[in-house]
Amino acid sequence: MKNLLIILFSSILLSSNILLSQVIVSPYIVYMDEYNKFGSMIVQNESFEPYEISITFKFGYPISDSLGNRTMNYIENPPEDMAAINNWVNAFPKKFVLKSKERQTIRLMIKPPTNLNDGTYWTRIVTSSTPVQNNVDTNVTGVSAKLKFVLNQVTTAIYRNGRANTDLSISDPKLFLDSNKTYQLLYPLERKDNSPFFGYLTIRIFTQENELIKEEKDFISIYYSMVKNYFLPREEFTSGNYRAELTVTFNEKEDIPESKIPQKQDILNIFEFYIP
Amino acid sequence: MKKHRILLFTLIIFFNNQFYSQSIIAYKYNDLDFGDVFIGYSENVDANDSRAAKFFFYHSKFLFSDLLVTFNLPSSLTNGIDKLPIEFNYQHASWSFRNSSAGRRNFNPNTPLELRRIFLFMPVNIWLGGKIETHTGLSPGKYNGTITLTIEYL
Repeated sequence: MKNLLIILFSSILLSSNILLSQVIVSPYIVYMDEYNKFGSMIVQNESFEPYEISITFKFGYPISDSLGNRTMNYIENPPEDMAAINNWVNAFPKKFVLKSKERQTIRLMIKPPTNLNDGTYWTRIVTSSTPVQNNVDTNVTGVSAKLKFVLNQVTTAIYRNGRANTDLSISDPKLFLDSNKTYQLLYPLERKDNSPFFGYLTIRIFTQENELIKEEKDFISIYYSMVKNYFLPREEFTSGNYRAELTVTFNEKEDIPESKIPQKQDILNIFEFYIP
Repeated sequence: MKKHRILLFTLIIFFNNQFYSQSIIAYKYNDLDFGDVFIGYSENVDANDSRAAKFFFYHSKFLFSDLLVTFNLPSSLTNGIDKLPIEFNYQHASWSFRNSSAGRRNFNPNTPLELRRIFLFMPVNIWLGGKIETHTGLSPGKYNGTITLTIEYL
């Protein structure tokens, strides 16, 4: 019910234009393959001032440490054995000024090498937007200081070649007591085959009496490997035996409607643990 | 319950004439502005100072999404002649779901901020200040710099 109220509240705010957006980039993933080497995305200026827009490419993917703390791993000059398309993809136009309420379609074109292995290749598209700067008066006697913001919005371009497939493996989960004396469940995840894995993770944790006390559903994108952690708050998880059921659901279509990777069986991992 | 959800989502789509799928939408309220500073003095703008930069964003991907917020911060500002050092620490950055001074959480802007399970359309407010220290011999003028803010899905 709380979630419903939040949706309703957010909807009212958005529809009443209380929250005014700036520069919007869509879609989240631009898909290309061996049959269609062109893609497009839209950059839209919803603000009341002109913006300078620039498009760049950066190879990267989400990673985590052994405790599930995540960040992005960007590699400036990715080696040839990494699935980077930075050197093959181009965007038109790359730099332009977008006036208030205008939109610009960006065309992407890829020229991959002919001897490319089957699989999925990608890059991050960084769309930088900066308000067009007015001339500033420099005739002052003291010091004044001001910093302007450049907003980077990061989306993804994917190129698929030949037979692309993916799967996910879950290694042995672990129960971990962190420095805040909170228990965490750690699930090492690794993608299989030649493509990233996009889908959902649903965790359900039951007491010994089979009472469901925690349920969370998250979207995940595993480009190589990652540790997913779940916090077990002390107030909910008192001393006792528990059973965690982690279900992995492949769902690439939600991110990539053009996907041809067939739907997969859900993966279920059951982990029983004891909290002292 | 299910009917309620369908009804609410229909309302969202119907009333929102700007419904963008899977986007992160950001808006800046104001830049970080130290104003006028006497040469030889330092100026500190905490995250809760009205001169701090302020912006918000929300996402429209899935019901819950994990996001990464990264600042690329300058180490100095310039007026074209001299460089004015600037620093940022834990006291200079905070975030909150609410656009108010209460309930803000501070974070170190020099490292990426991982935001977990951010609800669809839920605005995330971020404030950023900083500290500059002028020294005698610094040429007068307007010192400018650029902060790059990157928001992305994890």
